[in-house]
Amino acid sequence: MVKLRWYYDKDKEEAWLNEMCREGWAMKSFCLGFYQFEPCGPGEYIYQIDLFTENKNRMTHQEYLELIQETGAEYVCRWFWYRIFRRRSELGEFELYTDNDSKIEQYERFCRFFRRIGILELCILGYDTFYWLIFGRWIGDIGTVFFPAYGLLVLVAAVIWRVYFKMKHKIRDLKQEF
Amino acid sequence: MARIQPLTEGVYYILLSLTAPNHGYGIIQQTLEMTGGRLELGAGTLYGAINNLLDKGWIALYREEKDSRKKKEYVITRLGQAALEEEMERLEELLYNGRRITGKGGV
Repeated sequence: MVKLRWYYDKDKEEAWLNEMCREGWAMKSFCLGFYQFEPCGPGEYIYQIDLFTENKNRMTHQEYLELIQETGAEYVCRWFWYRIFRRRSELGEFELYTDNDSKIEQYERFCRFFRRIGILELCILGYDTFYWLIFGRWIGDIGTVFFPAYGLLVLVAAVIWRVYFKMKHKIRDLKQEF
Repeated sequence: MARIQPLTEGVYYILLSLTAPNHGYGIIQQTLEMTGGRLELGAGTLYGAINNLLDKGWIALYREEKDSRKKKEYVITRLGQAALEEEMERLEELLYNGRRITGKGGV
């Protein structure tokens, strides 16, 4: 089974994958918003999503994967910097990050990532807007085609920044816990 | 050497597990053992902590085998040892004061 979804919030995405699994569908691959599922026992796996950014001169990507696999987890797939893992739920609770400090670090990594693509989006938007103001038409003007594209850009930028601030909020909440 | 913050429980046990050379998963197992199964370090937590500790120079790569199938081992450095001892002193103070004031847990 294939489902098309766009998730920006990794917590929601994780929750959805785990919900699908409870219903007997185990996610096995991802490409461009298309999630592929195969049948599984209800709640057979617990899914976890991570954002991997290489730390030069430190533990490598290979070590990172091996370490996670050694805990009995399976490396399901990758999508650019995203990594998806799952572990059989019979092995108990599966969490990649088990304390607040490391949860905060993970959210901060996501925040940096979203800030980068968010700024890129704003630059493209700014350029498009500027072009329209100066020349009175959309870049690469083919009449109506580019207005929806512009709308989509605005939408994506809004979603990215919303998720960014949501994660900042989660970081703040985690920092207040003790 | 001025340490700014108390260590997290995870970092404390990671340092303890590295008083002898150990590899990543070995640290998780040893921590589980020492805490009687209470503290299971998440793989992501451990990965981040090892990188941070390498950055700080508190642990170092013990040896890198030519044979790449062999896992990398890490070991505590003198700097890490000093931090660990400082943390133990801090913990002892906590415990001492806790016991003294509540009169519980034996003096």
